[in-house]
Amino acid sequence: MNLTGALEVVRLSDVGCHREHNEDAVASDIEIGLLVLADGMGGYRAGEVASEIATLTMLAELKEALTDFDPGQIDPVTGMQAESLLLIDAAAKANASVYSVSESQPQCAGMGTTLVAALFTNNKVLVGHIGDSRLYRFREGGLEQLTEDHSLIQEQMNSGLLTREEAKLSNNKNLVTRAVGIDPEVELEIHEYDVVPGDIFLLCSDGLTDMVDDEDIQATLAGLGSDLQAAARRLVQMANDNGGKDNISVILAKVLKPFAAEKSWYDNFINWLK
Amino acid sequence: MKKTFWKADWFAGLVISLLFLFAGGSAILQGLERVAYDWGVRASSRDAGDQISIIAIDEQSIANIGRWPWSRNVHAEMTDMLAGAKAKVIGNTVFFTEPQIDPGLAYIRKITEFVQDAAGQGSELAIADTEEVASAPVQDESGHNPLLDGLRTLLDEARSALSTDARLSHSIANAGNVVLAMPFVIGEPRGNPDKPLPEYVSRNQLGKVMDRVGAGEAGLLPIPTIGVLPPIPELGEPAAAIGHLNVNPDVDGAIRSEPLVLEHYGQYYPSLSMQIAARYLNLQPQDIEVRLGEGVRLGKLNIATDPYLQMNTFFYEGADGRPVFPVDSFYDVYSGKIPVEKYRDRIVLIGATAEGIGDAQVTPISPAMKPIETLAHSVASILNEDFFISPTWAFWAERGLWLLIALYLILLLPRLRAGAAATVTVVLLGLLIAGHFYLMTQQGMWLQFASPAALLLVGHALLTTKRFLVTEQGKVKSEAESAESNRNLALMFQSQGQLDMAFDRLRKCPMDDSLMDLFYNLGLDFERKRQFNKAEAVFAYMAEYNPKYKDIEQRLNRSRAMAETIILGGGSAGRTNAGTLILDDGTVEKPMLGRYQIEKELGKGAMGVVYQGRDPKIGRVVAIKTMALAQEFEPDELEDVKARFFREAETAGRLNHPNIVTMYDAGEEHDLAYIAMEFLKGQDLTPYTKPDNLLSLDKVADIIIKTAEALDYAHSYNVVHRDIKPANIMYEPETGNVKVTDFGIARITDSSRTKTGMVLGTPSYMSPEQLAGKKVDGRSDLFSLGVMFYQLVSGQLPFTGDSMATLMFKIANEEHANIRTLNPDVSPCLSDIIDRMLEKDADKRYARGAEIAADIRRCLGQVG
Repeated sequence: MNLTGALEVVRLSDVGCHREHNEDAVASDIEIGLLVLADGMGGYRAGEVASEIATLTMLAELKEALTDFDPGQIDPVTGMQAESLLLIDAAAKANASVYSVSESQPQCAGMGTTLVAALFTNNKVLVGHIGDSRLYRFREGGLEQLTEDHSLIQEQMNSGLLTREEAKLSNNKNLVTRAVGIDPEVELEIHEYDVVPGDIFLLCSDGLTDMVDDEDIQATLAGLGSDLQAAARRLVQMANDNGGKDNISVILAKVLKPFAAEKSWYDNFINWLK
Repeated sequence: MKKTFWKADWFAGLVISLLFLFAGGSAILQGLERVAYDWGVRASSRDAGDQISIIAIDEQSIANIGRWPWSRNVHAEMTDMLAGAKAKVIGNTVFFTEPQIDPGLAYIRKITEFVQDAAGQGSELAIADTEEVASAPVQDESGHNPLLDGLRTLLDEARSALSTDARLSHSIANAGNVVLAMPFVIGEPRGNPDKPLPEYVSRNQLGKVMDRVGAGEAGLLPIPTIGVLPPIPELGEPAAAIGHLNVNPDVDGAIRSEPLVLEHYGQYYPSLSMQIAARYLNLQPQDIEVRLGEGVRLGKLNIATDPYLQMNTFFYEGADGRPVFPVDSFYDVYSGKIPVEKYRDRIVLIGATAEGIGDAQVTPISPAMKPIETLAHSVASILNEDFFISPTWAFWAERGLWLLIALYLILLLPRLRAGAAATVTVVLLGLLIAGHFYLMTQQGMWLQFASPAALLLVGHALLTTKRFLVTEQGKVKSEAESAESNRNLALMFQSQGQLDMAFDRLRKCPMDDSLMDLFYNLGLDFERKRQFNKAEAVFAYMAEYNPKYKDIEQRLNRSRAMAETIILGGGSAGRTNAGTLILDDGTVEKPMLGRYQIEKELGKGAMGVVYQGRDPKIGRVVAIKTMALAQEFEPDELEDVKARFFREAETAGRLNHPNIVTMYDAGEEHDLAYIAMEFLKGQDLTPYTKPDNLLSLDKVADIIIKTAEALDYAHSYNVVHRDIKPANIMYEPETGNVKVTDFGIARITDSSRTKTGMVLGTPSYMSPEQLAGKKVDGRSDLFSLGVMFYQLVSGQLPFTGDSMATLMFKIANEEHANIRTLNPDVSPCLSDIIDRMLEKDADKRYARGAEIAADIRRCLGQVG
């Protein structure tokens, strides 16, 4: 399904104040409704390679898979939107690509990347992520984090070892427990959410969330939500103002109108025929 | 979603549907309907009954009775015969529209006149009378000349015999049940007829005409005529009835319907078939009820027709290939061969079937049916009330079907997947066909289902084709869009050395000129990595798009040659000259093996080619020994062998001794394992084993000492060479430098030397325990060194055999010949050393190389 006109998307990636390279990568394809953000890691520019390979692979694979794809189908085995499976496959491909490069290139050994991807289809957004890059939803003035980081801190918080406040002060902020390209296989955590027109989705790397509080992000989106361009610039600016220790990348997407897969009596009839 | 509407599927469906609606009357679609109708007719089967027989005027009859047209006497006689046999109705389809006048009759008439004049006035009136009615009995008058009377009688006889019309007229009148045929001239009347029809014709007009459905006003009247060719009065008068014998061929020229009634200036005349049927039911034309626009009522029989009073005749199939109506040859009946009694109480139809006088007609069940048979089918149809009707609601049913199919094409089909669409279409088509045949065969109804079916098929084909083409277009479009990311990925992978992945990605991009550059670079990268088969694939892929691009033609050929070399020539046995040739060819990218540039081929080792290479980073020249392990080993043991290879190479790499070749590096690239080692000038000792090219004893001793010390060093690190032989000792005569090569790797193939044989060579230098397959230690190397010593001194091997088996037996069991018998110059001291080195029992040999070196030195000291 072509989502041109149903979504407004803005991408912005900034090297920050302390790093020399931007190891983040952002990509989007409005036609298939895909947003991808990756935060690479690994020395000697390997992080750039990893994040770039991951986003490009996601884009290329999904573009191909979604051509001629009937939207709105439910996978009978998992009960998920069929597109979710495509997302999982694409992430597996991305992982395999990064992994094989890191295996064969000594200078890329050990490289990896986080990944967060949002695929819009049939009035839903399918959110997949690996690592500590996040997706937020801004709806009716409230900001909600839809992804839960795959990080040591998060696990410590989940198990009650750390409070939220302690976590902010932790030194282990950047330890992720899951990443693309480290192991031959990786599991993409995937969730489905309904969308309503007016929703704003924010994909960002930890360069933003480590520097800017959720409250400030919420305030920014509440104030500048009508101008995504300005909102994105403002978010990056705030992160840099707060130190900009890491690369900062954001993707903002606003839902302009519903985009349900056409479903009517004859679709049901057709489904019955199949 | 912003597609312009004329590109939408539903619009295509609408257009094709409307096209079919307006083209419904076209010859193609109507022809299709007719084909469907004919199939329906053929599929129907009813019992024709047995009341109708045909007497055919066939070739046999004409051959025996005479040329057509026959004398009407023949018809008269046949009529008499049938009348005698009490046939119920005789239908004669021969047109008697002209009198038949025998040339002789004219003269008879003249003679009669003459005789009449001669006889005088008295009898003139009587003669005149008899002349009018030929069959009238000859009148006899008294008082006349008897000669003249006789002549008159004769003339009367002649006249009645030659006046065949009179004879037939008499027979028809006599039979009383003969129905004759007459053709009407079909046409739209413009005014009034020239003259009224004679009474004997007009008495056949249908009496009861009713119009219950307003057919007259709607113009739904039978076929109009402007003229008629009635039988001559002589025959028409006595006939029981006369019916028209006009046919109204369908659009394709076939006979499917029978016009039961024709209109002639407001009068309605029945067809021959209906007259015969009526006669059979003892009904008069006046009893036949015409219901304009609906049909005809014949006594109790209700014949439904189309609005123009045409009956869609039922054509009966005969059982077991026999004709459904018995057909007898006219001649057979005439000559009495067929007993005429069989026609009692039956309808007898007489008509021509012979070539030239009974032209065949196309009917639903036969492409060549004689008219007389068609008539029989019509009569049977009427009598059995078997016919096909198009019900009044047929029009609406057909339109409804059209609408249904159109809606399917417009609304449903564009939303169905190809498989589901095909299924639905096939099901609909099946329903249409089944419905058609059900109505035809069971209900005798004909609805035009072929057009909707054709619409369904054509529409489906059109829409799926269109969709296929549009999808292809869409694919091209989205391909171009995703090309960008694939291209970037490819570049990324290529820069990371992932050439295969880069190639995969590039192949997903639509080819254009800028992409060719990327492919070209990729091809060069493959060449550099010596993956010539991959390079070949890249160049071949490029050549598909543009074979003239840069020099890819050349590169393709070279890559192909190289790919074959690398793949087939991994072992020395399969290596071709091309291997050397291409490496010498400076235009190829300097091939790379691992990080080494290959400069030239040095020679062929036991397991592969040895190249001279260069480490570009530090400019060091190296010798690179390659081993095509994949060709030497089965896939299942390959992993194991590789692991062993690298383990051994690693071990050997740790050895650091002036008399051992230094190993720099070991690696593997696409199934080609390699070892980079110190590049030596000099050559191995093989040339010095020839009896006429032996080195001096001193030099040999020196070589053995150095080798023994090298082995001692290696053995102290638990590295066993396993393949000590002259070919593995490099020697530089100028400096006396000795280097042992191939430590650890030489016998990597121990476990599988059965595969090619060439790896093995001969086991001449092997120790008994090595031959036995036991675990070997350094003392085995010392045995081999002893063999080599023996050979370098004497030019002969201590153990030789015609076959592998003898050789192995001798090594294991037989004593070698004393060295001094071969070379008397050898001192007994050295001879003892050799003997001890060649002890079969490892425990009795020297334990260490150093001991040998020391003993030899001592010996030389004694001698010197």
